[in-house]
Order: sequence, then C-alpha cells, then structure tokens
Amino acid sequence: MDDALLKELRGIVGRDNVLAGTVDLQTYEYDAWGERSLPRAVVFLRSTAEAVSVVKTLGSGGVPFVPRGFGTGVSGGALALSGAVVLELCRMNKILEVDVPNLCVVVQPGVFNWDVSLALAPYGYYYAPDPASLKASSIGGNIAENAGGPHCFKYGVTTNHVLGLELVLPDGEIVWVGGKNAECPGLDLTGVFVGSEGTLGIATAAILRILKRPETIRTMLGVFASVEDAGGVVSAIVAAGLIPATLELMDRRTIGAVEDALACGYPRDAGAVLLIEVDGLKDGMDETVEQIAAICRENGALEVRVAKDEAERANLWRGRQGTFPSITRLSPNYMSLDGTVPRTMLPETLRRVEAVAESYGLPVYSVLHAGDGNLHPCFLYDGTKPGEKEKAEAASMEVLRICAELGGTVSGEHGIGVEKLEAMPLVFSENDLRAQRFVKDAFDPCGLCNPGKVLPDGAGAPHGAAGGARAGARVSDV
Amino acid sequence: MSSGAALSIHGMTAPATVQPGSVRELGEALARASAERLGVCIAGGGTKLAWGNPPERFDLLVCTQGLDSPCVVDADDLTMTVGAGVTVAEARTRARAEGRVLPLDAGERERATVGGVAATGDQGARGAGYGRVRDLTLGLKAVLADGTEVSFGGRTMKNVAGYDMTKLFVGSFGTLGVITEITFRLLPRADAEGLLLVPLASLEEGKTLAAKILDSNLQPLALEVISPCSTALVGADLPSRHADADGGPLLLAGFAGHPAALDRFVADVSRWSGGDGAGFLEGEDAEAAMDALAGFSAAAQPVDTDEAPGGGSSGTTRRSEDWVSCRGDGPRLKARAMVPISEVWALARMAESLAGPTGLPLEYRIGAARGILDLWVGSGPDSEEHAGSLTTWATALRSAAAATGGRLSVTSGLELLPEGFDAWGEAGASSRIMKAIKERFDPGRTLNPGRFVGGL
Repeated sequence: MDDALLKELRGIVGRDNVLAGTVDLQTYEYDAWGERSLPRAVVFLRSTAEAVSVVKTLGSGGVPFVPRGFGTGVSGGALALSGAVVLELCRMNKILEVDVPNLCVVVQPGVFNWDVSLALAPYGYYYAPDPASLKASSIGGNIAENAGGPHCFKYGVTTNHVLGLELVLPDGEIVWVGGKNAECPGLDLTGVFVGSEGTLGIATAAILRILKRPETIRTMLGVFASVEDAGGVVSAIVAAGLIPATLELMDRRTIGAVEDALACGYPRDAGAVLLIEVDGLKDGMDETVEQIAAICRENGALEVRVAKDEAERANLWRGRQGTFPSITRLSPNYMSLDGTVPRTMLPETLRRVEAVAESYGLPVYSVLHAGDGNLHPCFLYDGTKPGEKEKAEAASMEVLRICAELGGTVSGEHGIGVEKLEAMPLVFSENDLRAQRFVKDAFDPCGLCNPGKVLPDGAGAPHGAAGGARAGARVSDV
Repeated sequence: MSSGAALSIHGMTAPATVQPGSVRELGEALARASAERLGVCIAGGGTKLAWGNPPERFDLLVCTQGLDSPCVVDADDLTMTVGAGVTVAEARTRARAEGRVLPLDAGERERATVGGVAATGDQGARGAGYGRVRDLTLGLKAVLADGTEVSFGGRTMKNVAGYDMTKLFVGSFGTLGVITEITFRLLPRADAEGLLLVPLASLEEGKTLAAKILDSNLQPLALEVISPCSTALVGADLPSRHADADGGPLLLAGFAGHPAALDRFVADVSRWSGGDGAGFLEGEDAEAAMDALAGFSAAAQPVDTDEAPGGGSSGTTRRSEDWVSCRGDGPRLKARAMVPISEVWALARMAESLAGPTGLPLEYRIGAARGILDLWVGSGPDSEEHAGSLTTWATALRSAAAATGGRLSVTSGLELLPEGFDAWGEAGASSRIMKAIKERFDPGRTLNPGRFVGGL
C-alpha cells in the first residue's frame, strides 16, 4: 500500500489501528462465505469523527473501502474487492442510550446483537431480530444485511426495528436519517439503507426499536412423517388465525445430523420436525398451545411435545440452533441457500430441491423458517475434488431459479453480496436493476463504497468500479 | 375521464387530465409528459391533495383510479396484490371476505386508494398494532417518469435481494414514479376485539396512563387520545362523566387477540385508570369506533351534511364534518407532528396553550404509541384576523417538534399561512441524498415537481 496514504491513516486513528502487513491482512480477507480477497489495509474506527476523516482521506485518493463488522455474513458482503481498505467497526461497540420512555435504544454499529438484549434485560425489554449469529454478529452487520432470524414471522426483520441511523456517506459527510420517531416526511432513506450491504455508506450509530419481553413463551415440537405434512400444519396454523413467533422446520436428514452431533432427542425416524413457539400474554396461552397441538394432530402429527419448563425449551431449541454446526461436521464444505417462496409453496419447493440434489448427486440437508417461506437447503460437497464446487454452484442456481419461478426470491436474509450477483436477473429486469443503480449512484457517485456487491455488472455501473470487482474475487479464490 | 376533472391542488388545476386504464397507457402518458417537460401531479381518490407544497408546474393531472386490477387475496400466504387505483374500502372488504384483515387504517376509505396510501405512507390509529405502511408493503410495481415499468419486492415476508426499493417508494409522494400495483401483508382476524374509552381529567393523566400501558405486556392495537369535542367522532355512547362539552380528553385503548387476553387488557387498563367511568365497546362496535377515528386524518374536503353529530352510520367523512361543525366552520389548518412518543404530550399541551389566548379553536388526536399528533385549528369566520396567530402557532409548534428531533407537516390549509411557508419544514442534511435520488429517477422534474420535502 502507498506509504503516504498509510501514514495519513495512521495519523488519524493511531498506529495501532491500521493493519497493513500481509499476515495481518489475511485475517480480514474473507467472511463467512469463504471466498478470499486480500484487503489493501484494515483500519479500526473508534468514532464517527474518525470514520469521516478516514473516508475523506480514502476518497481523495480514489481508494475504495468496505465497512465490516465481525465478518459473519455468508454472501461475501464484507469481502474487500478492487483493492479496498477494510473499515473495521468492531471497536465502536458502545450502547449509547437506553431510552425506555421512547421505546428505543441508541447503539454503535460494533455492538453484538446479543449484547443489545442483554443490556435491555434489566429494563424488561429486548431487541427482537435474532439471526442465528446473534452472539457473533454486529448490529452494523445486521443492518447492512437486513438480518432475519427464527422469530421474524411474528416480529419482522431488522428493517422493521431500525428507527434511525447516523450515516457517514461515501464522501465523508454525516447525515441522520429517521430518528426516535421513524415517521419522518421525506424519502425513506433508513429503509433503503437497511439491507444495502455496506454499499451506500457506513452506519455509525443506530436507533433501534425495543420490545417488552413477552410475559409467556411456550415452545413445542411437532413430529411428522413427511415435510408435506409439516408444511400443511404451517398453513393450517396460519389459517386458524394464529401468528406464532416461530415456525421452524427441519427435514429427515437434518434431524439425523443434529442428533448425531447434539443428541437433543429429536426422533430420528421422523420425516420432519416443526419447532413452534408462541409468546404473549399468559391469558389464553394454554388454550392457544392446545389449539396448535390439536391442529398438528389433526394434520398427521406423529407426536407433539410441549416443553414443560425452561430446560426442555432450551433442549428443543438446541437442535435448531446447532443445525449448521451439525451439518458442517458432515462434509469438507457445504453451500447453504437462502431462497424464499410464498409459504404455501414450501412443500413443492422442497420436492424440487430434492430432485435437483438427486440429479447432481449431492446430498442436501434442509432447514426452513417455514412461517416466512424462507428455506435453507444445504448442499454438501468436497471442495478439494475438482468440479465438486462447480456442481454445487450449478445446483444452487437451479434452486434459486425454482424459488423465483414459484413467486419467491433468491435471498430472504443472507444478502446478495458477491455470492448471488448472477441470480439477480432471475428476479429483476434490466429496468429494475437500473433503478437500483440510481440509488447506488445517488449515495456513492464515485463507486468507492464496497464495490462489486449487490448489483451485477452492466446496468450503468458508475465509473466501472464494479467491473473489476468480480474478477478480483475469482482470482483470489485460487 | 370523469371524476378527476375537478381536482385542484392548492387552488391550481391542470389544463389536462388523464386516467390511464392500464399500466401501458400510464407509461405512454408519462413518457410523453417527460418528453414535453410537463409538470405532472398524481391523484388516487384525491383525499390527500392538500398535503405538500404547491407544484412548481401543473400541466397534467394523472388519475390512477383506472389502475384497478382486481384484488388477489392469498388467504393462506397472508398476502394481497391489488391495483393502485382500488379504494382502501374495497380492498379491505375483499380481505375480510377471506377472513383476513388488510391492516391499512386510512381515513376516507371509500375514496382513498391503496396507491395513495402507499405513496403517502398514511396510517391511522391501529398503526400502533399493525405497524407502518412501509412495514406492511411486501412489494410494488411502478412506472417511472420516462415511462419504464419497474417491479420491486414480491409476495414474501422476507426479501433481501437488491436494495429495498419498496421502502424507497412507500411514502415517496409520487416523486419517483407512479405506483401501479402493491402487495400488502394481511393479518388473520383476531378472535376478539375491544376498545376501552377512558375519560381523562387532563393530558397529564393521559400521559401517565399511556406510559403505563406502553411499558406493559399488553401491546395495544390502538392507543389514542382525542380532544373533548372530537369525541363525537367515535359515535359511541360515551361515559356519563364525559357527556357535557366541557369534559376532558378521551383515551381510546384498542386491543385484538385471544378473548382471555382481551379480558386481561380491559382489567389492567381499567384498574390503572382508576376504574370508574370507562366505556367499553366490543367486536364490530369496537371496530366501527376505530374506523371512525380515522376520520381525523381525513383531508379538508367539506361534504355537506344535515345530520346531527354522532348520528347516522355511514362514512367517516360525514362524521369528521359533524365533528368540525361543532367548532365553527371557518377555514381550517391541519398539521401532523411526528416526535419521539413520550414528547407528544408536551407538544399537545403547547398547541393548546398557544391556541387558547388567540381564540383559535383547536382539536387534536394524539397517537400515544405512534408519536403522532394530529391537529386541527379553525381560523374562525374572520380568518384575516387570525392569519397572524395561525402562523405564529404553526411556527412555534414546528420549532418545538424539531427540538425533540421530530417534525411538523401542514396537511391542509397551507393557503392560510404566508406564501412560502413550507408544508414539510426544514429538510435536513439528508435532503441532499433525496435530491440526488430524485435527479436520477426524474431528471426532468416531471413528477409532482416541488411538492415534497426539500422542494423535491
């Protein structure tokens, strides 16, 4: 890296907060997606003021940059392409204000998702979005990816809980969007920033909506002979006018994998299990639980287990929370998909996923946020064997095509990043992509902010910044 | 072209009106208008044309009522896809027929279109439980100024493919494109619904009670406080303590859910409010009263009526006019403040204390869970005399809202204020990005030019 620039960056944030040695940089050359691309440097930001100075300095040199939290994203969103500098936000990790009368909390981007709820616990509140990575992922990253989680069916995703943001724009200017009352006349810039995968600027503070901890939580497990039966129950529960907090579905192979790894007592001979959680006032809760159990039984449940206490509840959840680690044990690599379809299309989608897996000769393990129609089939492969990864990629594309065909979309919560750029045309026309490029261009006319993500090439890429990006990923992948 | 012909915006009418019968026709009309550098304003039912600033140019009015592709309700998936020109009332009826709830709580439902609600983001009292319009919109289609058709989002609850353009378009006030079709999230119908009417001695009492409810597990569907005279809006048998016109404000706490949970809600709120004097409406009565509440957000499009206050069961328009008639019939200024929820009370008190000495009749509706304060101020028969006081009132309230990090918009009666008084107030630093977005979507400033925040 250019010595003068390095010196300037060190002048802003201090010597210890800039990494430029190859070994240091290698720690930051990948995220949870797994592909690699070496950043030009890593700068640890400790304040909004530092973010402004650093962004302005990089801008004047035409150097691209990537905001990054803890790198838990699974679509390559935090990958530093085109020789970008990583702006690491993990040290901006303070909870700035808990404002109970206004039902919000103000946090810095590097706070762990889980820590927000921990800080709110003494007040009887929590922060609802709960991606599986909640103990390892940052609020800034959750905002960038519009993270979901198993409780979205009732409570919505990250965007439904972000009231306002302090942004450092790609030219270094600070603006606030939204506020403690998110209702604010003007274009909904908060709405468009959440889920923009770090391509429109850096969120240096966030106002988040907080919710009262539910008075009662009841968790149960429905055991079914087939995924179809379990899917039918999901529809029947909704048809009965119930909105559980959670409706998580796991297929037979996944149950086996989880049992092998964790032995949490899921029945191995089942075709599917459905983890159901309801929460709310204690009044009427017993009846609601009984009603759901009855719906399960009427729709072919082999067994319905209702957790009697916190320990049993934790055990039922243990299997779900350990799903991906359990699958990881089975194979050197796996490719996890994130397609989403209208809820009623889930059984058909899964049937077709099975067919795809069979035609490619790849084992597939599926776990689903069934209430949201969001499915995560995981194709197992061995990346050391030539052609295996390509096979998994081709199978994945086919699944995403199926999701799009059935009226769904290619990503429900993981993001496009670099991983799914090629899938974007499955759900967007040239005109749709052009309109999205307008937004990118309005925020980041020089194309310096996280280049090469979200929007595929063409569609009027500004200054060709995105052009070289893709190639960067592939080259470093070798 | 029929009904739109008479629609005016701040006294301006367009020399031409078009009501496209299809998305293709709309695209052709907009492409032509852009090429000819016309200024185009857009109307659905025309219920919110009083919002915003006067257009810089107004050469063509586009009415969206012909974009009325039928509602497609997917009851199992809890979604509805509907043409922008369909009225909220029609869409709600269709959802209801399938046992679902379309969670839009707009005023003047018989005229307001779903497209207009999406373009303005206007949500009513039940937004406390339902959420904001942007959170209920899963996807939409629109035609841009150059006539190109775009489609964003979809029919799924979760969708992170690309930028969240749906959010960008909801509430964009027709400045980026004309919304042609929307997919909304539906809710199941609750087993029980109820509305508690609690007479208050003062706003202070309301603040304490509302804070208690919001800091509980009760999760109200609606939590509003309305000024004494506006209680005619609710059209219900009011508690006796409240019968005379000098009664205090009224708190309305709505709930939907399991019957046992409703009982709990009623018991808790009644206990916290001191018990006696509260009224209770259940089921369809509760729903009707909450529907009537939306009349408060109805734009000032006077409809003559001879019926007595509270009488009749028809539209909210009539009810709101009944209500207004109890405070004289001069021109009215309407404003909406959006502030952190705990700040609405001080702002309401300030609105009262500023209006009192100058003799301006004032009514309010406080969205206690939404941080929204709707204000109606009558200027009296001699509006000349009151013009100065109105300006002082609006300016002072706007600064007070801004001091809390909030905003105040004038939603009707802008002509009562001095020329140049901005309907939205200071745009703030983020206005630069809004302008940059507008420049790219609509470089010729064809759509609603100058009407939105920051002169967008």
